[in-house]
Amino acid sequence: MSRHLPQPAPARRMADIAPFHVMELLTRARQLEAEGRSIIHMEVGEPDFPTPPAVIEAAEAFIRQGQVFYTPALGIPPLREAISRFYAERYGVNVSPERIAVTAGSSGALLLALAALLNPGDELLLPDPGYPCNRHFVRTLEGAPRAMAVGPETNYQPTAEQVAQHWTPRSKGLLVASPANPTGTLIETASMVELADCVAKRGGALLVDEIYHGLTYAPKDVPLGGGRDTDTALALSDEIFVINSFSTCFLLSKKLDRFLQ
Amino acid sequence: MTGWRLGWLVAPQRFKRDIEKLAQNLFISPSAPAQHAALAAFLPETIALLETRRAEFKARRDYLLPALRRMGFRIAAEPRGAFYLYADCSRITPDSEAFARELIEKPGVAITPGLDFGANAPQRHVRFAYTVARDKLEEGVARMARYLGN
Repeated sequence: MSRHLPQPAPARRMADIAPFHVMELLTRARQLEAEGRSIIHMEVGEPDFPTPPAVIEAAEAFIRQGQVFYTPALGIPPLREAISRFYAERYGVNVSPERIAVTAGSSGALLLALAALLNPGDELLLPDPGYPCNRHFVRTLEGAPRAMAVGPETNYQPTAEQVAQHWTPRSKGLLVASPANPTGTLIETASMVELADCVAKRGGALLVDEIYHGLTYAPKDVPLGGGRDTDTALALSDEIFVINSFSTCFLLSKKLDRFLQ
Repeated sequence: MTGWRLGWLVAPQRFKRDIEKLAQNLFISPSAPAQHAALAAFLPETIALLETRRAEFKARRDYLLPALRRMGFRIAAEPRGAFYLYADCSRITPDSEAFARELIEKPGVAITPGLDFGANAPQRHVRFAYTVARDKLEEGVARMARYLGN
């Protein structure tokens, strides 16, 4: 009987949400591997190192005591305090634990920030090339992703001039990443200041993805720990949204940096 | 620690209440085991271990960047972080997607074509991730070099 009932159509937004195209290639790679071929994987976007032993032990101890319940919505206080101390020790920046929300991956963090900011039709400026999921988050929230083509001449990062050119009355903010995916390039502090000023002057929000922050390197031939450490955008203003993650955050303290030199 | 699925947001003070309302409604709370595990990420021994890994990633980048350039890939902006190299492959192929498919079938190397990263000349670009050990990277480079005839 249900054969003649109309079927619910997927939401119109689904036409704008693209899959990860690389997954098709991965499927083919797995097929070949199942046939005995060897494939070198240089497509995988996650570090190959196992979870540190101390983290595993902490997880085991917590699970074994059996009291596994909901936590406060923004995360357990000791973790929010530890993140706050991390900003103080590594960057010398005071970030109150009150401003920190612990989330399901950095994806959860981006969803919270965008849901709190975007009205339907609001534009969010994004560099292209960029992390593909960002524009899909914006689309899911009925915002309008607005791509800015960036190239090697600006280190694959948008400049304040470009942001000014692309800004319209519907623009609500700018989302950048430093280091960026897929290019691995950084936004130098001077440029970040210009971007923050440009966006603030227009009444917009600046969101900075710092998930690869713990994985920055000096130029070739400069040893690790040499040169200046990367700044967090939080050092520039209390009005910037910053997204981070335990996946790739290497949590290097200034003290240890000196010790290792 | 990617599979633990734990991150964080720092928001301006005046958004605190809005972020909390959203987090309550959308997530109730982050994973409790992941949060308690993450406390150990701040221990000195964890930080020391992670620092050796950062050094390993830097060594991989320092190896892969010149190796790709020698093969004809153009990497005009030096990557300073993460674990990616975004390369202009237009001297080698006009179609990065077909090229990526070919690399899997023939020399057996998987890379990501530009298509996944937007509409800005994706057919001219590919992304290499150096998330495999040095010996695998070297094997991948050797296979590509042989395949490309240099």
